[in-house]
Amino acid sequence: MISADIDWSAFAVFAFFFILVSAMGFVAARWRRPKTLAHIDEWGLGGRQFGTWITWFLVGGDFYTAYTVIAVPALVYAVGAYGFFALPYTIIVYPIVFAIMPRLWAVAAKAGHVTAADVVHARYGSRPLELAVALTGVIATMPYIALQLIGMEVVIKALGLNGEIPLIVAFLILAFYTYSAGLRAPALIAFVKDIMIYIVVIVAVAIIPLKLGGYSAVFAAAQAGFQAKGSGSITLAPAQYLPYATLALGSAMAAFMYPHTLTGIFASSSGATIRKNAVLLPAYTLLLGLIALMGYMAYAAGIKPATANEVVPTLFKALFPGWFAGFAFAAIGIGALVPAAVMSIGAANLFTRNFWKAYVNPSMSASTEAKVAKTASLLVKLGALAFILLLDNSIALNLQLLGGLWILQTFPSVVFGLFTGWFTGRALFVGWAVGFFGGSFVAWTDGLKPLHTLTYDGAHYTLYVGILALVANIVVAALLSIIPGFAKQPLIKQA
Amino acid sequence: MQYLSTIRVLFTMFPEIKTQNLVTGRKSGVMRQNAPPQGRRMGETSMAWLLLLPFIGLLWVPFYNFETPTLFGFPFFYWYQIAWVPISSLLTYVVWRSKRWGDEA
Repeated sequence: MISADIDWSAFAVFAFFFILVSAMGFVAARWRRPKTLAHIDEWGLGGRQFGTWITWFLVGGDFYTAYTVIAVPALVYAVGAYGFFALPYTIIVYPIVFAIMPRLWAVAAKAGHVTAADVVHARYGSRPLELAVALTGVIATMPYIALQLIGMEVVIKALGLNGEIPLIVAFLILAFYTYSAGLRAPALIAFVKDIMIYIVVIVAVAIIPLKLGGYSAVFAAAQAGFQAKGSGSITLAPAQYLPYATLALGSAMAAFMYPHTLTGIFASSSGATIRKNAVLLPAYTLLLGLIALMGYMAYAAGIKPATANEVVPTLFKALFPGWFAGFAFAAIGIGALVPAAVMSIGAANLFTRNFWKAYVNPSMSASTEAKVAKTASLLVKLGALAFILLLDNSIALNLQLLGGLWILQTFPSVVFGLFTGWFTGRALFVGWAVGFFGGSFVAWTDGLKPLHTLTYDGAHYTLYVGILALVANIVVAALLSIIPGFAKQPLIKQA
Repeated sequence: MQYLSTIRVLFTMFPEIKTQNLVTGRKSGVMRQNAPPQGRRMGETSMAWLLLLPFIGLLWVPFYNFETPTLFGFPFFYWYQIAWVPISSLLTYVVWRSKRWGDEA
């Protein structure tokens, strides 16, 4: 389990912070203590009372995941400017949040909805559509949790710990405190995680360029590296314009359809909280832009990571003393716990409300709901753990890529009903099916690549396949909504 | 539980952000409770169109796919996009303050 090259100062700092947040996770059940935690609003949404600052830390900690910190620099290291699409993506996501989420929150808060599928069911009275939204949420989230584990695996390995036992231990601790404290645990831990990440990134982007001769040297080294490699560049090729823009747009529209991000929305205390956060959350995007540049710093530092995923840990080990590297690894490791916890809670809420309550036990009480959700969150996490231990990591990666396409197909069902009565439940269901299965099929035939090339009049257009599927989804739903047979099913007026 | 109450104190230290309403010049907070409810616009027109600017500025890649001019060593491609972070945040802020949203008590 412990290899000879373990860095003890790094390990000690890492262990200290890990134990600290684990303790916080367990005492979180008593934070802003409710009368009872045996209610799904308390366990699964923290009591719907999180104000501006808690929501800022929670959504920030949950949307900008540990995997992001590992994967974005890895992609930038591998392909250059193209990997930077994460930046426009995480900028335009906030106008979208601002326009949509306060309305969604208001509908959910008024009627006591816990999940997006609850909202959809209340709006259209369609069980199939509710199940489609819920199932899509769960299966899109599972590989996402698995990716958080991969992020954690990378930093545990960088500490010099080998084998799977440290990962299993970390995950079991996470599973237990999420079980007992619900959403309060990641909300409280998010404070520590986010402050640590801010410290790490600010130090890194100030000190690393100093050591490497400034940012112009960093960009020059990266460009030279790409030229030597014969692929990648620090600006985009014209053929990459459309993929870059459609990936950014599609990802931004999908981002807040995931159960974990929506859980952060539903848990907030008001529409004003969400609007303020649409103004304040871009601070994390600034951070992400700087994190992405670590992919270029790797060229300037002359490090040779074994895999692209090891760019960030290798860079920290090469340029910083052991204790600071340990601090950075702890920040990333804890950064995996927060989203993993919220994701499992979001998936558990879906399972409880839109499967168990809908089909197994419609008359269950709020406390039974909480019980079912707690158990479901354990199972979801164990499932993700088994995924990582038993299957190849590339499967999780491919599924997560498809997950973005899948979750994007719930956008019309969840959002359109907030603004218009044009669409009917049945039409949206068929639209969802066309986007979901059609999009998956196209991605499958392209070898699980997120991009698809269309040829029109001899010209080639390469787009994010999720956007193509969404267009098909919307067109089908809009057309079917005007066919009388499909319009028969009455709309349920919003309460 | 000592540090939990410390965190609670931190929250009371930084309550809702109190800011001037750009259009009315009013302070948010107490004054808002006396204001008319239900989404009445304080300005003549909605500023919501401002939210489209980040989409245009960022999704039309030919606008910014250049290495020069550089800023602090950053090629244009990078500093242009990073500059959109505070700009987009500011635009969102302006839209938020430009009208009274019916769902905000």
